[in-house]
Amino acid sequence: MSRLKIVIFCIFVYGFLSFSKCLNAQSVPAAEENIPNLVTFGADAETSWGDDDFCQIYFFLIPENHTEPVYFRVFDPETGGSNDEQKGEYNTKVNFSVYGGFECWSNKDAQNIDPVGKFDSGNLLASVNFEQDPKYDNAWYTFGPFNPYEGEMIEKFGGRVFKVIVTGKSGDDGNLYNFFLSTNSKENKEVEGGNVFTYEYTFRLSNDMNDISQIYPFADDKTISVEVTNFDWDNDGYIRINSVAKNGMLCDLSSEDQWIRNKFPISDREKNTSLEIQFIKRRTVLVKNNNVVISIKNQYGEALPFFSIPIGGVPVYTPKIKMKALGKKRKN
Amino acid sequence: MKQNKILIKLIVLFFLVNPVFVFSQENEFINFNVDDGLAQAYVYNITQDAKGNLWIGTGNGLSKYDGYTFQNFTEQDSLGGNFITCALKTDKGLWFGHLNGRVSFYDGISFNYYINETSSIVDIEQDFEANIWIASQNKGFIKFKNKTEKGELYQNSFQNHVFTFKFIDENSLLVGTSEGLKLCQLTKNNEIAEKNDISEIPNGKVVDIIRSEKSDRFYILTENDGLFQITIDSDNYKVDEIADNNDFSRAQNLFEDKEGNLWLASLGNGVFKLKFSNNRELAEVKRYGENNGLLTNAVKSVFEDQEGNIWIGKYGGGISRLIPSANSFINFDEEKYSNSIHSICITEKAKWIGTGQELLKVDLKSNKVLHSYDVNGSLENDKITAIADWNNTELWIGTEKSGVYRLNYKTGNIKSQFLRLGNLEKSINSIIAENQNVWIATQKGLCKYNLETNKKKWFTMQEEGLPHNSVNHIIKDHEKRIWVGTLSNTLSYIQDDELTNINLANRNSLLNITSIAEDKDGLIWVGTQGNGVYVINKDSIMNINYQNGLLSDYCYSLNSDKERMWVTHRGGVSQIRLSDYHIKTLQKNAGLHSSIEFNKNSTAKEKDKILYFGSNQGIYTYDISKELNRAVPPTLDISSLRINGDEYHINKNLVLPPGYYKIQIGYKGINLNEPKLIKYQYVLKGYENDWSAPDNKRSVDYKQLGSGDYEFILKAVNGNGIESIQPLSFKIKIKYPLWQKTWFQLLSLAGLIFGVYLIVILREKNLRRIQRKLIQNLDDKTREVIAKEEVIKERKRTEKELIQAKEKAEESDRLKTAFLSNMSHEIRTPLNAIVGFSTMLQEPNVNPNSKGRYMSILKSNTNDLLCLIDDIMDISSIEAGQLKIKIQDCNLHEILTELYTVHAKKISELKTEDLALNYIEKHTDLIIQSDPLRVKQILSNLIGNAIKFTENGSIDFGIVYHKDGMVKFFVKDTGIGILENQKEVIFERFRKEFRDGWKKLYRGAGLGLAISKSMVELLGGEIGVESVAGEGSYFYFTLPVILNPENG
Repeated sequence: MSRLKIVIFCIFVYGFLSFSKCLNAQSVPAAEENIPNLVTFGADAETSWGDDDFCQIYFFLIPENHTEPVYFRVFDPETGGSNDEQKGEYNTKVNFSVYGGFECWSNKDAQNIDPVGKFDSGNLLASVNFEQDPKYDNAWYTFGPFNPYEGEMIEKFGGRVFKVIVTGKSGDDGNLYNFFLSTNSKENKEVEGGNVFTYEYTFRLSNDMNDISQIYPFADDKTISVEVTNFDWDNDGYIRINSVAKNGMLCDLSSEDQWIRNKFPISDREKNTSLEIQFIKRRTVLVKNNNVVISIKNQYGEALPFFSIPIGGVPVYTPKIKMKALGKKRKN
Repeated sequence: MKQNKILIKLIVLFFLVNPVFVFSQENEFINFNVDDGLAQAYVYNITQDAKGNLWIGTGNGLSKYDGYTFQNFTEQDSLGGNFITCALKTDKGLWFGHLNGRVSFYDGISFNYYINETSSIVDIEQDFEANIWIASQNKGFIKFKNKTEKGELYQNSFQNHVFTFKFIDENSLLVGTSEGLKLCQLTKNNEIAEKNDISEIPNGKVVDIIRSEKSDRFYILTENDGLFQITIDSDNYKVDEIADNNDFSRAQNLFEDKEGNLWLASLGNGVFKLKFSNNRELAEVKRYGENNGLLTNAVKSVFEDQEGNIWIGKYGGGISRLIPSANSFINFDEEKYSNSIHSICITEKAKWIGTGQELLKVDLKSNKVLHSYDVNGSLENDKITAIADWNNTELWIGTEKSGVYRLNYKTGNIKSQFLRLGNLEKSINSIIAENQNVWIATQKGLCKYNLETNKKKWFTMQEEGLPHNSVNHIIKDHEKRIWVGTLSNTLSYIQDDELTNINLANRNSLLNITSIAEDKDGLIWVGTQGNGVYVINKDSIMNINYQNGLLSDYCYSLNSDKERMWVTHRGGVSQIRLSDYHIKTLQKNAGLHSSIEFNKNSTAKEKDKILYFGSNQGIYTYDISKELNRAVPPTLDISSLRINGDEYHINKNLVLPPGYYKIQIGYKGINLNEPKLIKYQYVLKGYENDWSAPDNKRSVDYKQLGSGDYEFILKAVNGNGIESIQPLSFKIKIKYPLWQKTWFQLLSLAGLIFGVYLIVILREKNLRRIQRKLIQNLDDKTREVIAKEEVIKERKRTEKELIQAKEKAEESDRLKTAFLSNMSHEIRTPLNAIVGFSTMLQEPNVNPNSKGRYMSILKSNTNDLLCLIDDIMDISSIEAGQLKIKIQDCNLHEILTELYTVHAKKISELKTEDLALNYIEKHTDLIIQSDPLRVKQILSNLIGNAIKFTENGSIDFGIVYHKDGMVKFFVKDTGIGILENQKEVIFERFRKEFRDGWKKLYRGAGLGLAISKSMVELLGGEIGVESVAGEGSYFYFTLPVILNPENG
């Protein structure tokens, strides 16, 4: 019996490692999340279009032992042409700024879901404004190279963190883009052990009504309950919470330009694991170009990070079944 | 303005594209990375301290490079942070800014840091009052008046991130921000207030601002918008664009070198060198990148050191040093041509290069291969070993195995030239061409080919007495002599077909002369295989070899410029300075790879400007006109100090406790370009007198260094022969043990003396104390002795007194007895007579005749008794001192006469007829002052005694003399005399002589002479007696003529 347990455990570990390995792509959104694009609207846009604050903050985590230059690649950073949400004539300017160093992440404001206070803390390493520019339409723009040591060393993450703030400076168009954390300036080469996370996920849902998207917030050991917030869901299907202890708990859904908050308790088994928030599109009527804002906070009101590569792997619901041995007599 | 911009762009574009036409020049950089000891591959800034050390700020520590090694500093060394964002050199030290907001200061010994931690430090500058200003990216500026003071915060009036700044004057500064350049001024309320937003510069990130040392302008470098210059005159300014964004991809850093060129670092395109014309317009742009050996195009910083070296700080690639442009390589496309160059010939129209495969005609300027000649159809396993131009008409080509070929310039045809049968004659080593002759050096002798007559004259061992048939090299000197180097120890020259041999070494040593050259002074230099270089002077031959500093004793070619002789070896080149034979070696410092192998006599010179040396890696060229004047002397420093194996902090003066030490001193001459060429000399004064021989060693050991004062002095000469300005010195003091110190010895001596003195004093004091004690004891003893003596004396005295008392008592008793005896006799006798005769008188029948006789007897006895009583009374008076003397004139004659009368009567009464009394009259008129009664009494006693003891004879008396105030009396008798032993006794009281055998009883109380003596003495005279028993006596006494009453 014990030998069987060991075999099962080994298979699990092997499977987990294999899964982790296949999840080492550091694109945002990750392929596994099945989210087409991130989105940031110009400052003059309406929040009802799916971006509550026209500002997104992403953190790029570089393992401590990585010393080679890193690059933050942005796919289609300009606003215009393909992969963007046009509102009238393209008139939007979006700024991408890279921060590192002192208080880049550790400043509390940087970990907030709203761009208030010192959310742009840290050392500005690079800053580029993008408008309509065919050169970067449907093409990659590379920030870098960056010395990993220019990031802020965070012991609890085991690496150095860079911050990329995407700000819709002006205009009202939606800028759709993707990130990739790369070791190469010309192609996407993963940083081994790297990761990307954000505290507020603003993204474009798939236009395919059969698609299911998912993101992976991480519940640390002090989390007792979480509050999942969704904005501007537009009645586009269901939002479910999965975890090792939750099997598809449904969230209340927001409508146009509306915030909805759902609270869920976190069991001991769920601590230090990733949760899975699934977005299941409505299959009756296709809602096209739906942009959603998702965030999750713990009982203290602290935002929990969404990792592109879920910490500990994708949570798999494991029902808690109590086994009781019957018909066995104790040997005296 | 627009035209200018277009022109600038064209210039930049031209020079950026230009490398396409330029021959590939590899290894223009020497690279240093983490493997070499650099702290991190990401270099953010480079600066240099006063000693010459290069300081490299990286993302993970600060590296110090002294030309030899990298020494890294981190937070563990009190650095404010491991990430160095910026640096500034000041007179007092180095400042470093950190990503964590801290600022470090290095004073030459240690680091101190100042905690700010507001925002990343982006720039540090010094204002016109030498205050240090530190810019953080988004928290304003901090001003340090001095390094000990806490900084003063200045807030920005604008919101943009700051990246760089530069002071214009005391109160104004240019600030480069994330959104353009701002002209700011300092306000009284500690604010950096924006005065002008310089809109002429695009609203992008400004990454660097520098003030030109050559002109009154500032250069503004933006990250993505190009390079600008701005001139500011009070409130007016003028902005000009130098180059736009398309030229430099992600520019990062700008530096102006000593010649006024700008060096621009970019993250995308490497480094750009921007040369300006005299009117400060951009004239030339040269780009250095991966193609030039930079390894990466991501460059973060650029810096020129004091020696003129350009250092490139790369982003992820460490640092690189640009090899001085004088050194370069000509390489050919390896796929087409061989890069092993065996012969070079420079003509007026082209360079001719002989390789292992072909003959190349190369463009003089561009080094582009113009034509490749296949000399003999196939040069497989053959080489072109010699090329010579003949009168711009033909090119003579020598091969290793197939003889000589002639290339006609006009036709381009190559034909073989027969010399002589034999394979060795086809092995060509060297060719020189004259007007009429071509000299061909072969393995089997030297051939002189006359082009007019086509005659050949051979110089071999057999034909002309050549030292050896294998002729390695020939040259023609300024005297038109053909110098011939063979495989022998003899150098030969031919003049007018006459061969002359010069022995370079004795016969026992075999030389292999490989190369010959003539220097500007006409001296012949000879390169050998294994014996270095010989210099043939008029009257001497000098050998220069490895021990003298030559890179190797194996020489492959010689060539010279105006100042140096160049010698090639495997692995490098030696430069020998003609003036003083100082040798400098070129290896990695000149960009030469250690695997380089120069080929024999593959060298040429172009217009005395460029030297060419053929090697297995192409042609190494040295352009003398591009040579940097590196007149920077090496800065000396102590790199380590080990004492008994333990590392010691380097101090100016080292003081050690007494003992013996093994001291190892490590030192270095800081020279970032050619540190290994520095030669050191040192001396430890106090230990040795002579300087050490020049050497490359960088440490010295002193074993068993004992107590003393030493001074270590170090001097050095760099590769170019420039000596350090000031020798480095520091003092070592090994303290003397206490007992060896002069002061201690003096003190000890003084102490010893004092001790001895103290001992003496104490001893003396002790002795004195003992002496005092002894004296006291002695005194006590003396007193005791004296006391005892006194007692003894007292006892003796008492005893004596007792004896005397006893004697006196006995005397008294005897006297009493004598007295009683005498008295009883002397008294009883007269009394008996008196009683008897008186009784008889009472008888009735007394005869009347008898009665008268009886009465006379009574009377006589009564008188005797009376006289006795008088004597007793006199002696009593004398003893009691009651005897009165009555001084008056005494007529001695009268007295003597009276006495004669009286005593004559007595004698007569005695009826003694045989006795005569004579008065000897003399000085009868003499009258003296005395008591006449006593004089008379004395004389009467003497005369009475004489009568008593003289039965017959005579008794004479009288005066003996009168002189000197004294009168001497005498009484002389012829009586019984006095025994000798009785002469003294008779003058004592109650003493009288008693002599056995006496039949007659002599009456007398024994008082007469005693009374006489006392009276004579009372009258101031003396009495004496001279007597012979049985013959008589002579009594005499003296008296003064005039008696002083006080004497009486």
